[in-house]
Amino acid sequence: MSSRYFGARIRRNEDEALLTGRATFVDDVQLPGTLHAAFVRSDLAHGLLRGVDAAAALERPGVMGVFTAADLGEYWQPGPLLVPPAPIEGLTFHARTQVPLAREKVRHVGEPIAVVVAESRYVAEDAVEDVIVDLEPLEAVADVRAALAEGAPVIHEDLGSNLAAHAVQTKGDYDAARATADLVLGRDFTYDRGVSAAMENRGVLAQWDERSAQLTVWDTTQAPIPIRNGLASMLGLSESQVRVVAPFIGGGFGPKIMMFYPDEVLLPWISMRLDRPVKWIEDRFENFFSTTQERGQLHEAEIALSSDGRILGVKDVFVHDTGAYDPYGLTLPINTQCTLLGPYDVPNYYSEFRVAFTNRPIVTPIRGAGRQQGVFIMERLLDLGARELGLDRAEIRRRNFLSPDAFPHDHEILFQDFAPLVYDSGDYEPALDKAIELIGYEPEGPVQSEPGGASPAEDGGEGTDGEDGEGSSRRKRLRGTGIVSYIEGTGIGPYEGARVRVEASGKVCLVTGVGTQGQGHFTSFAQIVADQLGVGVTDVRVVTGDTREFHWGTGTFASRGAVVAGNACHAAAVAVREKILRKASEILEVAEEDLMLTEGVVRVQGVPDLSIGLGELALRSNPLRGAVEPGTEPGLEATSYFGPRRGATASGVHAMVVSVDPETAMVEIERYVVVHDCGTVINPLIVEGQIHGGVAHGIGNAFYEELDCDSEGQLHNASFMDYLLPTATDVPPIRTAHIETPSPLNPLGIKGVGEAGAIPVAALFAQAVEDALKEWAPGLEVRDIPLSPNRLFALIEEARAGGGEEGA
Amino acid sequence: MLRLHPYIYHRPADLDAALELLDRHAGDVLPIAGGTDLVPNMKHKLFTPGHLVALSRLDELKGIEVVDQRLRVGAAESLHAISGHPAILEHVPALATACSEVSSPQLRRMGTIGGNICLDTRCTYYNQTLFWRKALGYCLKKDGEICHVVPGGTRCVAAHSADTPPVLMSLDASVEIAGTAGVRTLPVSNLFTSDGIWNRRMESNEVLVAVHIPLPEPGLRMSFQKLRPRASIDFPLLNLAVAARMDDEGLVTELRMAMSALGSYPRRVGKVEEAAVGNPLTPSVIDAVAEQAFRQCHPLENIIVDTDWRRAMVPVLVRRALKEIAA
Repeated sequence: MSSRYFGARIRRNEDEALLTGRATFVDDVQLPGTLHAAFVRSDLAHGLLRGVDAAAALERPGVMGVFTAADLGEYWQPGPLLVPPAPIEGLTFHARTQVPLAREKVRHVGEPIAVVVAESRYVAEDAVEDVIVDLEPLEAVADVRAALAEGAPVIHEDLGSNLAAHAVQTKGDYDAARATADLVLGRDFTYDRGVSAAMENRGVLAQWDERSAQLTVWDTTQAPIPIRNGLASMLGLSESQVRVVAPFIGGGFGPKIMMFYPDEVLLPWISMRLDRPVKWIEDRFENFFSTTQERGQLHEAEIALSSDGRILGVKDVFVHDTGAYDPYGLTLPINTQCTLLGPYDVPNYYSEFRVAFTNRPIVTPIRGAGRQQGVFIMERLLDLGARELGLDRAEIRRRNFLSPDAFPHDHEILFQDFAPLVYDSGDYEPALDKAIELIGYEPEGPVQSEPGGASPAEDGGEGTDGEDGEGSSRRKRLRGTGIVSYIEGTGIGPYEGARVRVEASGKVCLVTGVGTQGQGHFTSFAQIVADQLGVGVTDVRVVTGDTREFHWGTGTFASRGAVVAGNACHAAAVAVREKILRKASEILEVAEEDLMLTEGVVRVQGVPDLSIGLGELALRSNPLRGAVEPGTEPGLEATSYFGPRRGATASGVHAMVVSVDPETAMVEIERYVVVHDCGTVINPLIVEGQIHGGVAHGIGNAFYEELDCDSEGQLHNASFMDYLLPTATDVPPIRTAHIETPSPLNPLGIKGVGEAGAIPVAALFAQAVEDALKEWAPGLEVRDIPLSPNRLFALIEEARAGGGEEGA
Repeated sequence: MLRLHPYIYHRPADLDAALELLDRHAGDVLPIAGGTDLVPNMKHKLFTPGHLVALSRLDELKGIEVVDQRLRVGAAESLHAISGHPAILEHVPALATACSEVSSPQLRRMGTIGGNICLDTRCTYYNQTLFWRKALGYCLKKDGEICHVVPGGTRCVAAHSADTPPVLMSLDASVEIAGTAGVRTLPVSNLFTSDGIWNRRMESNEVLVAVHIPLPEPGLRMSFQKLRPRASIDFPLLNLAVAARMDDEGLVTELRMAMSALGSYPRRVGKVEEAAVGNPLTPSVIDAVAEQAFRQCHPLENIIVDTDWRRAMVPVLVRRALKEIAA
């Protein structure tokens, strides 16, 4: 069958509604009689909860209720452990999951203590200030290293320490490899945490309808079906009594897959109790505490290399900060552990991690989900190793790439989905070559802005100076190039489903259980189905994120929507196509092989007058009267499921040219290139959009975003005035190129791409900046992320004073 | 949800009516123009006046024109309008630069130069929600008795964070201030005091009406430099305005320099004339001026970003400004 839409660069079906402001988001759902919730939150990071006095709040006109943990009775339960730990030998793991409202103790700033419900949010917020909370301060521990130190305040007392987990995964024999190495290079690295900063904060609207005994919940979740299942179970309702709708969502990025947030548990319960709809929309300040965060890790890493730059082994020992609770199990540290290996042949590997509880907001995956840190460590070790061995940075990577015939490649450790870490397919050198070509990388060194040598001039009058745009003053700008590789495990199971139905209008309805947060599902899924059914892409109406429409599924996360749900859509469309041809064959009395399906019409090859439209076929498949043969199903409809054996391994190379102002340490990204492989591409426009967004996200992580948290666990920059996101002026145009190594693990050959753009940016930034400064600040090493102008300035000063050569 | 407190919004027809309102509600009133700083601050409960008096539509506060060898800029002119105005670009380009580097396009269209001059000082421990400040135990500037920047400090050191005052100081500009008692003018260099809580020599019932800038004499050159992490949005981590007059032989005859975002008021950088006047702006003279400026400037921990870097950037900005002027 000829493919018309799959692989085509077509505009998104959903954009008209989104761009004209007509798309429905949770806060757009306005129900008569809605009450509004506001939370009483802990202003301490660690404390004993002695009591809550809500008497004054309850007296405020318009307040309908104030609820504390005690009011919840049996309903008060810690949240589920979402991902049980992988069966790693010798594993230690302690699950301590978040609670709906604090009871006895608070463990991070912003943890909810009580919820106030009132006729308006204004009244509810005023009433929050009426609630008197008796908190006895406890010593807090906000730093992950301090949390594991002897004598640290213990956050979950029954554990006796803050150790949440400890695991070791190994491959081969690192120590033996180390003994034979020509170069052993060790460094300490830090990767700090940030927020996901979705444009839309979280929100929940719960409506209990007493008459029909139905609960409807509009939720900004990435996982409406698991939320429905959990709520039904907790509230003692049938799943058929609970409908969860995840409408348009302004960015998910991972934290919206977390469950259950306190609000998600509380609002349905309150709505049932008060028999009124209840809404809560998170504000930006709350988002800095009440939505999950990520990326805090400390690494002690070591690489053993031969003199020609071959990796003999890698050892990495790290601490992962999980915040006050660990509902996501070991997903993040295992992702770090696995992704560190990258596209390289690493014969010997020792990876050990500890997970620590701290008095900070909960940590769960954010776009990249532990992979950033792993890529940063490996790429840094290769950069520093290349420098030490006098090798070119691209060349050391090339020498260690897995060869195209090495697939499937088994890394002999377990991945986050409990399956062995096996790469399905890949071909890494062409991506490197393409990136080198596009960025203009020359193996001997960086591209030069002007002829005349690389030595920066003291006076700004000569050398590699660029011309300052404004005025005629000349400023030194040192250029550097970076080029890094990464892989990304994507598209993990367990499964997703889709239902395709041709309606009497001839148009197609496609329903899937995943939710959508801007990924372009309304278009890419429609493309897959349109090709099978011979209809226009805009004739496929896609429904996502509504549990009333589709019962089964897990959610949109881990770069799996296109891979898992996409293949389910494909399978359902193939089944419907078969039904169409069978039915048409009966009606037209022509063999199926002689039928063509184009432009919504089934035609007979060579007989232009003999045809039947899809709408007519749909009608005839669903007769109002007459006998139907036993064993047949009505309609042109099929439901299919897809579950991959394991994840598909996407990969890529990012390259960039930066110019650094050596005096101010301000960095400007001049050019950015992404060459990536996400298997077969459904829609290049959407893939590029995902990559652009990811790169912007990564630039923020690498250079701007930092949570300034003090030792008491208090955040000093909980607003976008002080928590710096990259703006349009900080994100360069991005050039992309696609390499396709189809995944053998799914019929469409797709690999995921949602997180790809964000993963290697910090590693790239570090390398490019070092390259730019290699003569101005010899020996400068970037080992901590985020970098910022002031941090980079300190590194430059240190290196110029001679302190940068000593390593960690 | 950060919410505004209840207040009455007055939109007077003229300046006299505005002054009357400010006087009548003294103690419980604030003037508002673009509101770009005041509204977020009210949401943080830093100000909770029962009355707001709108200034942005008052004719007396409008206009950009040259009168009697002076450039008069109405206080309610937007930063956007000023940054693109031909007379500003012709006579005082550094002011256009400073205005164009405040915040973002949207806020420059709302924000006014009067508001920028009267911008409240900023501090890590002050520009926070009520929830946060309460947890900290408040601070000297608002509701509390201790300073978290200077332990044991009894004087608020919140940072002056506006971009236009240093330029106005370097150009010997003055401000026209109206009160119920009448109109007075004050050099911008005398407008500010070192009190971070209220750093302007203005009564709360007075209104800044206009800025008067003497038309630069021939040979006057100027530069504005701003340090900020991103290329837009951010308040300055440091800013600097320099105005220098040079004779036909390229010798400096006058040098005026002002800097801000260090402490609670913008300040003239003194003693730099000694190093520059009578000399051409050679690299060594420029370095001497930069060194003199560096010695005088000591940033405080009132902004999240490290003081070491901010201080080290003082001579860098000075050198850049002087090179721009010398070019």
